[in-house]
Amino acid sequence: MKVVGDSMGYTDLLFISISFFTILSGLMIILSRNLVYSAVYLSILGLLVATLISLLGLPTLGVIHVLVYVGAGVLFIVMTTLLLREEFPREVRSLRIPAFLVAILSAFPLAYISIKTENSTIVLDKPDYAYIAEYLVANYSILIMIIASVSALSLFVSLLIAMKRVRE
Amino acid sequence: MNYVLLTASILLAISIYGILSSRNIARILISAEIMFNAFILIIVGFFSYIYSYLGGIILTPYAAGYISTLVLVSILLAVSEIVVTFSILIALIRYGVLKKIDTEEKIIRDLTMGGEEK
Repeated sequence: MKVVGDSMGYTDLLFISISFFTILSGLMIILSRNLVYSAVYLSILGLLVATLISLLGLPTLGVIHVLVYVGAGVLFIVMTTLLLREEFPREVRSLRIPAFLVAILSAFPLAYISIKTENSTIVLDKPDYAYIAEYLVANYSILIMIIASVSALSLFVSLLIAMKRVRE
Repeated sequence: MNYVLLTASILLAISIYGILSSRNIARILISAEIMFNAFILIIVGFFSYIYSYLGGIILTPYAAGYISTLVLVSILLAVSEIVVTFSILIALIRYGVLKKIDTEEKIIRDLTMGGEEK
């Protein structure tokens, strides 16, 4: 990892440590026996991914990831799993070895690219939210209103589905 | 080395393993969420790589806006997907329709014996 106009060391260490904890929380999600703990580890993963996004030079997107994804989405999963009082035990298929091989083969091309490439912290001449606002207003103003309406409608419909009473 | 892309690739492998090896529908959905986080890191990591490849020049507003908007829309769509899929999951569990997905033993039994239990 190279910061433009800076010799490395500290930033490398920061990226390596955050990447390590990100991978660790990802592993804990699938290894936890209780689904509530998996959801909590998912929220930790979201926070660490937001940190990585911010370190790459897009802090506004990191904040949105924390507020919207972790704050709303993952918290919804945590509350759902807590309130359901259903047991979701960790049951593993007998196809573990083929699943492991498929996972390794799927991720190998990206891992190869990551070893062969370098990246740097992005330096923008304006804050990134200014770029987002300019781009969206210039190109997709009507579409944004439609997406906002559909998102609100999906939230409403999902609440209706969740609150629907079970027929006797 | 591109640490962000490496992290994304390992997260991708973890999520694929979780999806393929789990029998529980809620765990499969949570594994899919790991995959979403990996894809966000892939988008930002490739953007950062392209920026580095170009020598750290000041990006055009169009390019910066395009990539940032792509990430933003991905995050918002993922949250919508979480809310809708977990609501459907709650409804299915409350109706008693679904707790586990079919095991491979049941799939094989369906295919070979027409679903009759022996």
